[in-house]
Amino acid sequence: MDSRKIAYCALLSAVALLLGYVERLLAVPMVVPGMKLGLANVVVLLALYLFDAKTALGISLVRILLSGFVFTGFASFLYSGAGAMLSFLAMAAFQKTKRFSMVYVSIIGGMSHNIGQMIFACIAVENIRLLYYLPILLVIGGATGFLTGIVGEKTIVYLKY
Amino acid sequence: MKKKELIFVLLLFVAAALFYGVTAYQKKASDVAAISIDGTLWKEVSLSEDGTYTIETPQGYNIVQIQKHTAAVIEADCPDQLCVQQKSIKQPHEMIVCLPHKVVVEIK
Ligand SMILES: [Zn+2]
Repeated sequence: MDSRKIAYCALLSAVALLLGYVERLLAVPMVVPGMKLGLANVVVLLALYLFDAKTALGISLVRILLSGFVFTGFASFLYSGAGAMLSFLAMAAFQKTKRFSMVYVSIIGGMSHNIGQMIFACIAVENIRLLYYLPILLVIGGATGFLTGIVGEKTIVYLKY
Repeated sequence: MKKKELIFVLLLFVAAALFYGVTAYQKKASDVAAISIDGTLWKEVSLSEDGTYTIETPQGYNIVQIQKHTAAVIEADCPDQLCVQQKSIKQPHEMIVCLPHKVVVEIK
């Protein structure tokens, strides 16, 4: 790993952390439990396309760990961790096939983020009826993924490593 | 530009709208909110009677308020405060979740 890549990774991690904070500031009305926009997803997406799955996973882990320590408690740390991991796995798998556009990969990432969180929440509170909120969470995740995907596609042109 | 992807998201939206449309059509008006801790029913409270209920869990407390046929968590000492931020509920299936305390308030 050369110093240029280290600088890139540090920058991407910082941006991810910042986006997580901005999202908290936006104070999106909580219509459903666990609703989150997932803006930081764009960073993992960029790392996936700029570098490889391993680097993207690293940045994702750094983000979850740091924001868990800085902003939230242990339960929500596990909760968003479950979402971020499923999102990473799905994006990496879809990107690897090379049959989907970056925006599609981002949409898949946004949706699976919410699927992962929901599964974790169902287990944590032992209530399967929480799944009632899954459709709306998939729409929110998909729509945010669409937007962050477009942002990612526009940004990556200027980030050539 | 990005037409296919946009259509995909729109289809997602339509599917979700259909799902909630159908469940809303099937629902019966409800008068009971069930409060559970860690998957076990703690109390069923009537939505017709205004009042506040303090739920003590091993992790901390939540205060549920029933007012004008809606239920809301008005206070809690959980670290993320998501349950307090969530808007009040009144329709069947709707629920408020406090993940750190494993508390679920659910309209029956
Ligand atoms: Zn709470």
